[in-house]
Amino acid sequence: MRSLSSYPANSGTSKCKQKEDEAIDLHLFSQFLITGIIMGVLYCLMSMGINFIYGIMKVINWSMGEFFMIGAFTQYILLTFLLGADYWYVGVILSALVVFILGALVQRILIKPMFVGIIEAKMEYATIVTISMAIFLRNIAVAIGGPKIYTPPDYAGPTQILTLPLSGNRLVAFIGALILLGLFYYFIKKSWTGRAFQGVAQNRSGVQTAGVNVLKYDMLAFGIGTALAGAGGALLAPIFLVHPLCGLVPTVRGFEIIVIAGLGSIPGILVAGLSLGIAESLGSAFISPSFVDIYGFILLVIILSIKPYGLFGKPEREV
Amino acid sequence: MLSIENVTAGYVEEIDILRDVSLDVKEGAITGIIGANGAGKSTVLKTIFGFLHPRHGKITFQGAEIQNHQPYQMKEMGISYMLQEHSTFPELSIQDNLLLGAWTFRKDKKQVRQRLDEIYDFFPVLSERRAEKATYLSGGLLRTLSVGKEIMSKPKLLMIDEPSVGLQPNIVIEIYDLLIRIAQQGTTILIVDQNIMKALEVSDYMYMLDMGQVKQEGPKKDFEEDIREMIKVSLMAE
Amino acid sequence: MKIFNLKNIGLLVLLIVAVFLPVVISDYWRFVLTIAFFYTIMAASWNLLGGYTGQFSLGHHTFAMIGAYTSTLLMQKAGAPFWVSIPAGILLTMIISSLLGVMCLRIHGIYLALITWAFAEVVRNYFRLHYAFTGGDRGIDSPLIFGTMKPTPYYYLFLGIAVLAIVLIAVIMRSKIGYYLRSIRDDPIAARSMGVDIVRYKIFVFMVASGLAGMAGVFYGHSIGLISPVMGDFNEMAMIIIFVVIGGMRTQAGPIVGAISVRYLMELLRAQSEFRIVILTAIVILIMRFFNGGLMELFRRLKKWIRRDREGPVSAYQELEQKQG
Repeated sequence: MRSLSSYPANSGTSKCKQKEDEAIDLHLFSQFLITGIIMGVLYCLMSMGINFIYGIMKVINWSMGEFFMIGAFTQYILLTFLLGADYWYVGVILSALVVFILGALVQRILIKPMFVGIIEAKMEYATIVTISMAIFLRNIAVAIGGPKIYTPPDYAGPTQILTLPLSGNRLVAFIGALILLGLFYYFIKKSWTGRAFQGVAQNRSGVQTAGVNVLKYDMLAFGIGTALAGAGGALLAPIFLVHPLCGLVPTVRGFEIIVIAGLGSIPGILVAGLSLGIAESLGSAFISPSFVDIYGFILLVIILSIKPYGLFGKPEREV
Repeated sequence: MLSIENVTAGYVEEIDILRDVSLDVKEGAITGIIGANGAGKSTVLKTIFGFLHPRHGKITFQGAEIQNHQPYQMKEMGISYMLQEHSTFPELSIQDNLLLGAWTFRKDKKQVRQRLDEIYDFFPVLSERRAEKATYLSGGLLRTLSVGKEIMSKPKLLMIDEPSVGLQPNIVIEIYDLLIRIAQQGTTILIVDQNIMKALEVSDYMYMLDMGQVKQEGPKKDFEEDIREMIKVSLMAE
Repeated sequence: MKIFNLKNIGLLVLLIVAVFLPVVISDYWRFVLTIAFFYTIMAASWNLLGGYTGQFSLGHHTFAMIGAYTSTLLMQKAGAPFWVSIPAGILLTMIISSLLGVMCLRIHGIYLALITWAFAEVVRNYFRLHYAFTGGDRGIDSPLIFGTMKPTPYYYLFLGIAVLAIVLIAVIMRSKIGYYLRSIRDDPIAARSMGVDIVRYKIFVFMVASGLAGMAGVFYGHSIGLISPVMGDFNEMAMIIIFVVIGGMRTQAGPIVGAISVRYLMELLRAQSEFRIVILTAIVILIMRFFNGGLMELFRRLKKWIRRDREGPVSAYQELEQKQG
């Protein structure tokens, strides 16, 4: 990114130059704003998954980043060996499906016991198990794939929005994420199954008296939540590239968003996600790119000092 | 219709809440269970519905043994269970709450629509406020919504846990009138209540529970005769 | 309580063994054990929070980092001597932890984990990014206490502070305070209704645990000679959890046993760094799922099994039970 001072000085009246500088300022600003919005929305996929799983099972899955990574790897393998570069969107869907199945299996084997009376200290169990899973999966990925970085083919060539240059991959990932988020929202709010999920999140006993098989829905929810992360991984594969640790940054961003937004609020996540993306992008552009990690956390600290449960978070009801 | 035979059950290992309990729910009648706090009344309902599985004993519903079933299977079999105070979904609209009551037959869109209209006819208040979130409702309305949600499926047996808790006396009267109307339409009702007078009013047959055992049972007539004795016992137990 | 019972004699024997161990092992293993003692302090102090009072902090490792940097920076930038910077490091850790503790007062469970995670990340990023002051990713050199790179004096140093930490924790847990802490974990509402001032005890424990972590970090810096933001990596926190879980979460000996045995295992498998982590995390998952007590639980059951064979019935009642059963 070129800093403003590197733009060539222009001849002409100072007023003319001022106008041109302003135009450049606005131009750059818009470009970074758009990048910020795009990245923000992409990180939201992760947070949506984390939040959804928490809503249904009151469990925070610390290994979401690894499902992101699995999605990315699956996408890479599919594109390289099966589908070719043109059908990348099929790859995204298939990768999400693979991660869904994996997530459902993991839930069935490791998480379900929490809900059938086998496990005593639930929160402790969930935290330790998901953290261990994260590290387990990360290291297995390194053991299998080696510490290499894999580059999937581009999804689309560089394009423009109006006059702003934009990476085709980012635009496509952005649109994909919007579609996924939209589908997810529609699914939760308008479908019978979505209604059941809301029921499970709001009244676990009450939903059982309605005839909903909560244990099955727990499993589905975990699968869907991880599938969102996996889809994110597949969409972002050409941008973040595919390697065993590619889920780390999205995890951090995903949780930052959750802390800023507070658990339990879908619109809150969008607001927080966009804020984070924009803060990051503008900070990198106009302050310094090497501190990219810190801008989100500055935002986080500011928000938390005013609202310790996050922007829209509700304090956990003491049972 | 429903029969509990020699059931022993508890939440924690080694501690039995119900001890060798046997009771019958006759079809078409209103059966009431009364007893002091902690006597195990709610536990009976939870055990029937499968939230708790008995350590000993058998539970039969219309001939089928159900003591090992999961809760979600009960609704389909025709048993609805109105939980104490926590039967509804606070962030969902009244309509969505009722729709979830239709979960077991959600695939039949026509029937869902029809049943929803019937419920709205039965409860005009709910119809007026159908788009509002349940969390904004008062205690009595929430209870009404719970009833609506539970009878969406036209249950054969409706189990109700402490319907009068936390309600103003005039609302309690309304809720009980509602229950009588539902019973008149043919639904069998099993009601658990601390409010002895109300329970006595509506029940055809009653059981009194104390320390997890059935201490007394009989038709309303018999209980009316011993009512002073019962009140004394339960007051002393508290 | 008798001081000279079997358990204390056993501990004394262990201590004597530890004191004389450096004689028979190489420099390399002395170093390995020194690091193991460091992690023992981290595991034992975290267990105080997570295992005993149910405060699941994901930022424990951060306090070690804060202690290390505070002491080191005071020496490097302000020219302070050891006897100033070391206590200052511990003190600052306790101050920051008390602030964090107050902030997290009403937050529990999931939110505590999230907040402490955020805290850990913020602090780590700060140390990474303010490179003019902290040296950034490259880290910063820390003056060695004993002025030498030989591991032996550091072995005894860490053995000493590890024993100190363990004794301190044991004293706390055995005291009235420990009783209150356990009651807070098991049933905070009941504890509060009995008059236990939850708030005060929670903060107290948080400060003590973090202070111990800070102390460990301070000495770590001055023993290794170089500190970097890697100390605040989430991996460090995960390792602490692994030690405690494998050793046994709700016992005092568990974290110690876990830290030392796992570090030992890790050294043996040095060549395959991913493989050993895969094995360890798999073990942790299996333990959580099937065998919650970890190694200490294993020992306990073993002891019971051995005792049952050797000892006869202790009372007439037991005899009757045995006859009937």
